[in-house]
Amino acid sequence: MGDGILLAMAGAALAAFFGGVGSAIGVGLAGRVATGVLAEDPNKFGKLFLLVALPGTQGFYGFLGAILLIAKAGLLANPKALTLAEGFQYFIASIPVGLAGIVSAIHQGKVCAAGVEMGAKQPEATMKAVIYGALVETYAILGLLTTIFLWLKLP
Amino acid sequence: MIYPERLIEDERYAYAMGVIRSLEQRLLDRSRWERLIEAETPDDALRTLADSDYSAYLPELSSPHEYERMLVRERERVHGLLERLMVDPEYLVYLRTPFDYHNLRIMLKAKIKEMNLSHLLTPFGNIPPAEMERIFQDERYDKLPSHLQVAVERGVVAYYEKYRMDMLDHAVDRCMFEYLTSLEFPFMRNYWRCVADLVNIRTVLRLDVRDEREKMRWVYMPGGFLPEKEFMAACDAGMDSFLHFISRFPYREVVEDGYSYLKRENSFLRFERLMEEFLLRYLSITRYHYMGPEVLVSYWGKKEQEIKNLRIVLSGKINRVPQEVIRERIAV
Repeated sequence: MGDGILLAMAGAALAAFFGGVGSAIGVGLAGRVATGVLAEDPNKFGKLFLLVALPGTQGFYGFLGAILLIAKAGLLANPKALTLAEGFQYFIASIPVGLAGIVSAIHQGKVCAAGVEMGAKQPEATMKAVIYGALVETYAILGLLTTIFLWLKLP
Repeated sequence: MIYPERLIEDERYAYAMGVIRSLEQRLLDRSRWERLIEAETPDDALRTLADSDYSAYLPELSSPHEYERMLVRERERVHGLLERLMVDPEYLVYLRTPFDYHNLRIMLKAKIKEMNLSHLLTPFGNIPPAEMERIFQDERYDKLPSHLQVAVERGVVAYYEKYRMDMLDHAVDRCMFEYLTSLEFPFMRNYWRCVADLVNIRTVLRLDVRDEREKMRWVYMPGGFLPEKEFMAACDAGMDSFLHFISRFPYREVVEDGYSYLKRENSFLRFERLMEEFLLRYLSITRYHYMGPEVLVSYWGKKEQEIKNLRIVLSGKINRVPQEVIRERIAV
């Protein structure tokens, strides 16, 4: 194993970590509001579920990015002998999905929390709130796609 | 709103937001108030409350005359709920402070008149009624918070100046407004500043009816948004001048409509309603707020108003007050 493999591993860890942290914060926030609503009206569970689950996707994107990097570096079987520069390429490739994930998940959590508040008052408008939440999702997806494009060119 | 200040955005209130937003849906709406007002009998009015927050207490009432028990139970529920949900305990202290002043006023009167008025004490203050009674019995006023100690001192001095209970009331009210209009919580502080302004305006109208406007400087409540000097000068210069002065401020509609009704009907009913509706509109700015303690305070204020309205409707039904009179008094 060359020194570069350490950087590749750090990149994979970063992608999974940032995506996961962002989703945990986002789902946590929307989930707390939804729990408050359900404490008074348990029948709204179905309507609010999507809003609570939506900020969780960034965690999966981060995990997907990490798996791609791990597989490409051969860490599941025979690790590649990567130079420092090659390892740095892996690291760079992990940044879009990680950073876009953490920022978008937190903000999506806020949008969804506000959506849950709206859903508590106007259950019929809950899907409109889901659409606003999904708009934030776009940027997490763009982050994931950028990571995938960079991954395609990795050694 | 008129004097906006940034509301606090605090995500520690996430769970509370969910609960309160749900409960806000259960506040009595306009159509329900209309049905309550139009109910033929007090029993019909109570039946209208089925499937509302009050429905749980209805089986406990053997007669509509016991409605006060239901209102007290609901108030206890709301206070208990806010106790559980309010993350910052000092805001809860602020909410309960007006009840402390109420109890303090009662205890001062009881002490001066050497009467037992403990049945008039409310349990919703920061200091439990029994504790308040003990403090006054032992004259250990040092056990009170400093702002209440000042109120005791000023209340007693004001009473013994002319041996008049209304002077005691004004002195204690002044202390209360001084304290509440300087709270470290902008939303509540501004609420009380609006209350101070509206109370002062109402006092001017009352004094004008009795042709005693010159007494205003004795009963002026401090802390409002209206500049005191200009307010007094306008008041001294006559009602036209006073109305012109108020027309520069957002209280214009309340005063114009309330005053013309007063002149026409010789009644403060509409002014009282408009005043309460103004304060409800202030509280309603939290409808657009994402997350924070203001939403809880707003719910508390709306619930207090709802309980007050219900008391008016139910006592009105029991005493056969005409529908139009009840409708004129209900702030929604």
